[in-house]
Amino acid sequence: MGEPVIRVEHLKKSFRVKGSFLEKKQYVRAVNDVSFSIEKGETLGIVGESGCGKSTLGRTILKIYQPEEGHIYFEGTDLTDLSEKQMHPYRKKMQMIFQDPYASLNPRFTVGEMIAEPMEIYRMYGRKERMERVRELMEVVGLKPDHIQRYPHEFSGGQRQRIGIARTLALNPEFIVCDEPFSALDVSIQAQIINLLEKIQDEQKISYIVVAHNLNAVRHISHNIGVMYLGRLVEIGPAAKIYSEPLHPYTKALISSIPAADPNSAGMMDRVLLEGEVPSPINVPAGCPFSTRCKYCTEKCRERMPELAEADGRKVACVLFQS
Amino acid sequence: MDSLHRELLKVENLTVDFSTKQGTVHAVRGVSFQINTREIIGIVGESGSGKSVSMLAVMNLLAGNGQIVRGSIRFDGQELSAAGKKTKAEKRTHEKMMRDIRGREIGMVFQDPMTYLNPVLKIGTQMTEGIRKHMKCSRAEAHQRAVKLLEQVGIPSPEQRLKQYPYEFSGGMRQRIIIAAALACEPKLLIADEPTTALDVTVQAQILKLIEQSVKGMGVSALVITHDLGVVAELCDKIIIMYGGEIVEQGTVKEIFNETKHPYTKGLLESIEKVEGERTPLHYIPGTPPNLLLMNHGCTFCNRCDKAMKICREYKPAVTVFSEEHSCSCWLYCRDNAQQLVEEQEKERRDSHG
Repeated sequence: MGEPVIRVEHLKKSFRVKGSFLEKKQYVRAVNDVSFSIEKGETLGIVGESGCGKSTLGRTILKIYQPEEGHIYFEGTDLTDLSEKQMHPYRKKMQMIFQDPYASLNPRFTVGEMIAEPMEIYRMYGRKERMERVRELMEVVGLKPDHIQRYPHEFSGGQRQRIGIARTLALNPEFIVCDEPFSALDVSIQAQIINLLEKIQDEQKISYIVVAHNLNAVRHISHNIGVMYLGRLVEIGPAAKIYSEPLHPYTKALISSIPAADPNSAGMMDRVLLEGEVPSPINVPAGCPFSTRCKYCTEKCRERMPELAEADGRKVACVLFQS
Repeated sequence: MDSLHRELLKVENLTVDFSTKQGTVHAVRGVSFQINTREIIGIVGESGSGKSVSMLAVMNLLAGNGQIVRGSIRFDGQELSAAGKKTKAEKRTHEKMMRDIRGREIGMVFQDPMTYLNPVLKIGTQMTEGIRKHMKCSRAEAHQRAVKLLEQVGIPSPEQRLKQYPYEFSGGMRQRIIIAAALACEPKLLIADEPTTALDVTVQAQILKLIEQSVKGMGVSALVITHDLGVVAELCDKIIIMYGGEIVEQGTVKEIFNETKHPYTKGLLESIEKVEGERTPLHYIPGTPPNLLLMNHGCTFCNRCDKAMKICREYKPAVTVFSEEHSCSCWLYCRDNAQQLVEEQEKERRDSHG
């Protein structure tokens, strides 16, 4: 296999938290030393609880946020220190789908204008061809091309998400970050959008990062899963392996807290219930971030953050699996 | 019916309309169900299916432009429905009665714990308010009770926590406080509207367990509104499936999951992503939920149903009963007396026009 589409090395991003000028400056470490790569036509699902830095990770890879440390490679080219102008040709190939289809569309643009806009910016096709392409795209995402003159408010949530996807596809991207693409949608509509994203991927060999907290939806669409906790990647590997035999104690708890939609299963009784909640990302515990809630926690865990290490076909950052 | 499970809440033919600029929205149409004591019932449906509105109607908390047009709500032998209360005086006495019931007999837990608590009042003040109003006890007694309740829902050092403001608590903690407050006056019924939707999965698991323990421990009945079939499967005894303002199917959890009748329920169950399984296209329900402004005569689901017949578009199906608990309204199961149903509906339409 050639160069992966996206390779990320030791990525770090933190935000300064406002305090009075006398106070010590405080930082939220949203993304802390994250490394992974994505091959062509593959999906990496990023899961974790709110505040674990999964959305920040997606945005930093697209350089919506400038990373502090580490490197981002797109097909082998280092994007980390490129200026906005130098980024321009790469932006075309790296796109994003947003969470809220109600907030991410301009209410004053018709659907046609909205889907055509990215192509105008990149001076693709002539005016007539562009409109043809818009109709084509609308058909690809399952919208009626006759609705080209309509405004976003005339569409339902699921249809709006389709408009967002059509707009993203207009530039023939090779890589798309989907930030919670299903969470604003009803259950029956979620399945439609998952199918659509999978169909597009199979046809056009696009790579995705899907950021979501709905663990079931991510499982279906992803080839690989990365589990984040307080800015760190604690486990990453093939989706089937992670879901069937999670190794990291946090992954175990996360997977077992999915309510099973099956009355015949054992249910809540034999579940690994986590105590307490995620600590504040401002004061991340020293050593392993999960040590405060982990029942296997030892002295060693509180001292040093374990590195991601190969274990049973995936990578885990936990002292239990260090060789 | 044995003495353990007697009828607590019986809703019959509940119909709620909202008048809006665009016209009348028929948010809930002819909903009937029953909750017995010590039961947990889940109401499942997509947004706009009328699940929250039905509950607000039970509590008489509908927005100003909404009203109960028809139907009765019997709670523990008392009629709660405001239908037919026209004059101001009637409305006032009704509201007075409802105030004694809300919080005392029926406790409520809402979806968003971030907005439900008052940000400028201490947790202690908010928790004791209801206790003092309903239980007629002193400040100290109410405080004692609040401490005990917080302990029960798993909040450490409750004495100190009662002196804190909502912003000092995380989302899961706030939801625990709200559950504690809802159970403070030992209500007979707990209504929880999407209690875990705003929470993370690991916290959701904690809260579901807490609800189950409190409900089973205190002998309270509960009505849980959710769109997550996983939540109901784990927590509830019975399920009510709503679509477009109507109940399409109801039954025990096992009946709904194992002997699914209505095409909509089938679609919902199939569209859940199974945790195990290969990357084959998911089943899905085509189309989008109905516009409640434009209601047709027939079945609400007919435009998205893969089994839709001619009759579905023209006439409403009747409720078919399969077992003591399990019933479903779909033409697939009531074709035998179609003739009679069609005639009845034709007559109704003529009457309402004439």
